[in-house]
Amino acid sequence: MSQLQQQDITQPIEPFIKKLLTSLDLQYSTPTTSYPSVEAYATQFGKSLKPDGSIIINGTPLIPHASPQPSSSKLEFQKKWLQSPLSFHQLNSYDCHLIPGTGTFIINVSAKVRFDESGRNRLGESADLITDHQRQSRALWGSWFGVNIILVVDQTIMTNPEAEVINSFNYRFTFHPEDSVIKI
Amino acid sequence: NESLSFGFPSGGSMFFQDDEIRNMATNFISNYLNLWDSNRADLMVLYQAESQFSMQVDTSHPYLLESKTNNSAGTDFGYYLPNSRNLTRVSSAKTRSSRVAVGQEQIFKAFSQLPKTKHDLLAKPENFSVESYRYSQVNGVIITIHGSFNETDKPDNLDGLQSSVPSGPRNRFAYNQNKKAIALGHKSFDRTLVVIPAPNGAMIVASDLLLIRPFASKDAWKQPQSYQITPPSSA
Repeated sequence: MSQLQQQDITQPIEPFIKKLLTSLDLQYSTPTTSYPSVEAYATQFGKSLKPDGSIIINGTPLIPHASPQPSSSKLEFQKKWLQSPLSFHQLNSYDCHLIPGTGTFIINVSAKVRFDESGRNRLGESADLITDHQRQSRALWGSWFGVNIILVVDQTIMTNPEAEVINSFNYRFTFHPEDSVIKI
Repeated sequence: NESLSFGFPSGGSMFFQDDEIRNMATNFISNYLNLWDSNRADLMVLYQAESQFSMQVDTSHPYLLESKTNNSAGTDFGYYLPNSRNLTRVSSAKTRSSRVAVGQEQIFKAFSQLPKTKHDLLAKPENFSVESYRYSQVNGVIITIHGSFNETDKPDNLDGLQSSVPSGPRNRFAYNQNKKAIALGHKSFDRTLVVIPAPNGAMIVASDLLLIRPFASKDAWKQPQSYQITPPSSA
């Protein structure tokens, strides 16, 4: 690796974004892995979000609840994401700036995503009265949606990519395929 | 069927963290895009020595192929690609850093290397979507705008196009002359500005990230109608 490449502060950002997108696309059970509980699964989504960060999905902020159990915006996001159909994201493009004196990056991500349109949620549950959990059901992938994601991320991502570093997460659909049955 | 719903309530096309941000962001955007279309030099008062601007192109963003409003020109990115900072594609550290314009002079040059435009914000606000919220680390506000524009003329400054011709073959000038004219058309964009209000009421743009993609209609953020969901046929 050349000296110049070592100096490029934006280098850790691409693996970070890919990891974030992959976390959103995790499956509850695959032939090789399965989570011990739904909670253990759901808390994987957007693991690098700060609990008190700003999360805006399609123009709606995730608001933490005080009761019955105190929650966080991150937890509210994970609960809702769990109910959505299985997704598959693909990173197309990104650009970012380190804002001097703030210790934070702002990142503009362009991606595409498609959803399982088989009528099951992420846990594999469908509206059918009898759900066969044993049967490995195959996803019926729909057409691609376009997505723009704006992130504000702590500069510490450079040394500790596993930490909770996302201060704000703004996820907006930018293209809606005509033939999709997914309601957004 | 709930399993065919994305699960998040639709907030519509606009999100503002509070009324103060709503006023500030809506004023800012309408003035900004108006000047962007009419005279980009007038925007330079917003940029200071540490301000950053860069532009990226996502040519593979999904869009409707058979859209009546989308002629082939909507996918000619010839004016943008030479300066695109799509970091998934630009690997050299030198190029990655040179494609960020820093300070007024470089930013103005970058602006003048982009085609002249017309944003129909006043006549068709429904074609745009905005999110604006606080960015506490800079004591400022993030303003993100999604929408589309018409390219009305070639850029004022075409220097970037010449330098983009791969150096090497001796006939680089001949190649340039033979090159097909770059078509103007409709494009969509996602632009995020970090704006810091100054004490005297002025504004400073600390960061400006512009993304250009093929033209897509406003369908992504229109209020959902009562969709008739037909169950998928059993496989």
